[in-house]
Formats: sequence, C-alpha cells, structure tokens
Amino acid sequence: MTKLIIILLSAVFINNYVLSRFLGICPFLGVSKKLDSATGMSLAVIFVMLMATAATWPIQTYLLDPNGLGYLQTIVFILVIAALVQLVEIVLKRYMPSLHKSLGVYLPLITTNCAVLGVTILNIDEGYTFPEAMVNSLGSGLGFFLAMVMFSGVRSVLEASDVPKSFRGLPITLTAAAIVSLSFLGFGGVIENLFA
Amino acid sequence: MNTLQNFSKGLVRENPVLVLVLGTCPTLATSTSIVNALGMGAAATVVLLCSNVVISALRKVIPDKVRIPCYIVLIAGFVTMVQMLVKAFAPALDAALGIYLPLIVVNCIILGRAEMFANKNKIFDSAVDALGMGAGFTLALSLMALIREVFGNGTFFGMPVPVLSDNHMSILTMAPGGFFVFGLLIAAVNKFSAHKPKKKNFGCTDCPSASVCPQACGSGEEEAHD
Amino acid sequence: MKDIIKPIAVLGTICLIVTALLAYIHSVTAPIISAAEQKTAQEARLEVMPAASIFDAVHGDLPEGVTEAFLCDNGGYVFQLTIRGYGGDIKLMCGVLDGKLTKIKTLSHNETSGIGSKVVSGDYGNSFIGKTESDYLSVDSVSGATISSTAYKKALETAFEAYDQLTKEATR
Repeated sequence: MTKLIIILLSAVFINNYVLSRFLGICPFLGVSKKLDSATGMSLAVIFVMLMATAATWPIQTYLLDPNGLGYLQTIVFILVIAALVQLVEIVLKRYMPSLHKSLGVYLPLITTNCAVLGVTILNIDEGYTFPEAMVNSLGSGLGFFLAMVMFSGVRSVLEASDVPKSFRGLPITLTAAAIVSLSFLGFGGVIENLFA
Repeated sequence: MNTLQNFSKGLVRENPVLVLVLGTCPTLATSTSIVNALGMGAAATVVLLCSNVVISALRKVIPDKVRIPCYIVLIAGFVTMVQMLVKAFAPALDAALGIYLPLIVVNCIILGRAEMFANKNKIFDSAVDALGMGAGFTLALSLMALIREVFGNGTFFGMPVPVLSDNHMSILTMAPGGFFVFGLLIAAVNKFSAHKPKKKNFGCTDCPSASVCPQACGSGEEEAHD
Repeated sequence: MKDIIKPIAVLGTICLIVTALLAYIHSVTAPIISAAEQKTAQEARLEVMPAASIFDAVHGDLPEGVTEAFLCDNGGYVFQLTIRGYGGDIKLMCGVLDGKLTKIKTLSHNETSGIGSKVVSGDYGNSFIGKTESDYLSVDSVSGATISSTAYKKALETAFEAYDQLTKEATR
C-alpha cells in the first residue's frame, strides 16, 4: 500500500509529466490559456491515460512478451491508443452527448499527446504490476491536471501584463513555465521521507 | 521552389522548432548535452526521411479515409527500426535518450510533414524537405544544448570549459532551465525576424491540435477558436 | 462497398509489410543487443570486483532494494541495488568481499546536478572502499545533499544485509 501511495505522489509531484519529464508540452502550452479548456483537456487526458494503461499493460504482458514480440511495443501501443480514442469518442457521442460536448474537441488531440504514449511505455519499462501501473497512470494524469490548472492561472495574469515586444506570446509563456517548474523542484526527496 | 530553397526553408524560415514550434517535448528533454541533442536530431531525421519518402511514394495508393492510421503505422515502424538499430550499435545513446526515442512516433514534426508536404509532393522533393526539416530540428536542438551544456554543466562535448566548469549554473540543465532557454531562443528569433512580415499559415491547420492551439502555431495574437 | 474494402486492404497490407520488416530487423539486431547488454553487465561486475572472473547469479529471497546478486569465484558477492534518491531511483552496483566493500559503481541516477550528483558520481563512493558493516556509517555525508547521502548509505545497508543473509545460508 505504501508503495502505491509513493508511486502516486511521485507521479504527481516529483516526476510531474509536464514540468519535469517534458511530456505533453504541446497541450500544456496550447490549451492552458483558459481555465475551462485546461480542465477539459486534463480530464480527457486522465481518462485516456487510465483506459490506455488498462488496455496496453495486459497486451504487453500476456500477448507480446510471451510470444517474443516485445519489439512491436511502440507500434501496437500507438495503434491501441488511436483506436481507443476513436472508440471513446464514438461512445461518448452516442450515449453521453453532454460529456462529449465538453471533452469532445480535446479527444482527437490526445492521440498525438506524448504523455499518453509515454505513460504506457514507462509503466512497462519500470516493471510495474497492473495495480501499480494504473496508480502511476492516475498520478501522471493528476500531475498533468495540476500543472495545467496552475499554469492557466499564471497565464491569465500574464495576459494582462505589459511584456517586451519580442517576448510576447510563447517566450514569456515558456519563461513563466520555467518558474512554475522551479517550484516543483522543491518536492524532490519529500515523498520518500514521509514514509521513512 | 527549387531544391535549395526547399532544403533551406527548414533550416531558418520554417525552422520546425523555433518558428513552427513543433516537437517541443524532445527539444526540451534531450537538449541537456550536445551529444544527446545530435543523437536525437539524427534519429528524428532518419525517421522523417524514411517516412517522407515512403509516404510520398505511396501517396496515390493510400486512400484518403485511412491516411492518418497508415502514416502512424509507417512512422511507428520506422521509429521501432531506428530504436533497435540504436540499441544494437549505440547503447549509450539509447540509455541517454530513453523514453524519448520511442516517443519520436508522436513528434508533431513527422506527422506534420507527412500531412503537409509528403502526401502532395514528389519523392525527391519530399526527401529534400525531410532533410531540411531534420537539419533544422537538429540545429535548434544543438543550439539549445550548446547553451545548456556550456553554461549549465561547464562542459563542451563532455570536455570541461575553463572558468565555467567551476562556476556552472546547474539549473540550466534541469527542467526549469530547459523552459527558460527555449523561451529566450524564441524571443531572440522574434527579435531578429520582427521587421519581416509575419508569414501566416505555416500549414498549422493540418496539425491535429490546430483547433484549440492558437499559441503553439506561431500566431500567438489570435484568439482561440474553440 | 469498394469504398470500404480498399482502405481496409491498404491499411492491412501496410501493417503486414511493416511488421515483417520489423521482424527481420529484430532477428538481426536482437543477438547484438543481448551480447552488448551482457558485456556491459559483465564489465560493471568486473569493475566492482576486479579480483573475480566468474559471477553466478544468486536467486532466492533477497532484501528489498537488492535487485540482483552474484556469487563471485573468489568468495565475494556483487549486488545490484535500487533505492529512491532525491530525484528518482538510484541504481548502484557494489562488491562485498570478506565483509568489506570493494567498490561502488553508480549505474544510473537522477539526482540534482551539482548537489546530489556529488554523492552518486565522483569520489564520494571511493571513501567507502574497505569499510565494513560496523564502520561504513562513519563516512561523512556530503553537505547540502543529505537526502542523496542517506539514500546512498541505505543502499549499502541493504547490501550488507543481503551479504549477511547469503553468507549465513552458505555456511549452513
């Protein structure tokens, strides 16, 4: 149990996907302008990450590895994620139109979000068991959510500030991201010692 | 457009990283040392070249409906090949790039070039385009890595730099430094290209993120369309 | 109807060709990769235990944190250890001969450059050479890098624990 909590907290804070592993930077910079779109995107990412792990972990463990096909990992995972995203979109559209309305626009983007493919591959690389992999995916998704929501707050302040001309747009956003990511460095080493 | 222009646009005018702002994840993550940056650049260029050539060759065969899945399969295939070759012949590079090597699959530059260029142009032009874009990607990555390694780690290709090796700013090699240096570089590019008319529509409409991503598409002033 | 069959056929063909190509390249590179991995592992073991030449993997219940253990032909043991440091897992390899540490090698780490990295890379590990279970804690921690130093010593503690356990089993 302790191990699961450590995995969860480290995925959210220490190895935050966006701010320390640099995965999912495109949506982080692109969609964090408004709080509601940041929330929508992050919820969609959490959802797809959990689904993708639930699908890819068994595929790798029970289908690819026993048959010596581990090298097909990348190609199988990206196809599974792409198919999954399509499927989720169709199901949502058909049965939960209201949820589809709020998450729908973000779903197609998630196929090419490296955080989702990244979490599925890392779960295998780290040798996690199925519950550990699911907890790690949840933590990674929550970490993404935390970074997105925090950063959309920072950006709403940036919008109103007077920025030198050549820094307008992306450069000042990146500089702000640097400062936000600086704050996450402070979490290093904390989690392990909570349980030491 | 002649061959030379086709090649050089990727280097400067449409530099995939600094102007089009594609492929930010590997740029930030693997630019901590020059060797890693060159390795990542080379790996991505090889994948880009193979995928551009093959997609261009198959552009009349692949039906429009399933073109994206086809591209993804082809790109993932080439990435896996590169991954296996790197593992076999350059294990140190494989260890350094780690997860970012398989993640070339979702690098927007590669799918973006397939969608924007290779499926409309001849094989030779697509190959030249791939080489130009690959070179531009490698150039931007190396530039960032140069700054981060020399000032952050006090070394140049692993060799200590006088003065700096005792007074290096470690923060530059860590995550915040990556964002910061990238921001500075884009600001510099903005500064030097300020007098030129801003070229609209780099083909970003084809990017899967286009609908919700005004910022990352180089037209930061526009409002979100969602 | 043709509109449905053709895309499926093309996509299927592409998948098949790509998979076949991958299978071929895998069959070529797999032996090279495994040979290279074994060579690096052997070199790492030789580095921490230069006096030995044959390393037999030991299986069984090892303390948590010891990922691999090897019995050397000179009676010593080589342990591969994983411990959580400041920025993630630290992977170490160390040799223990007659209750003394022979050498410690860092395989991979994610510690803060310039602070925690002083613990895992450079000379710090060498100050433990020749230390035993009773006096390895007398080595000072690196100032400013308490968490990394504590983790490092914790890893050595598990190595000694594993050593005691294995030598006890051997004499029984």
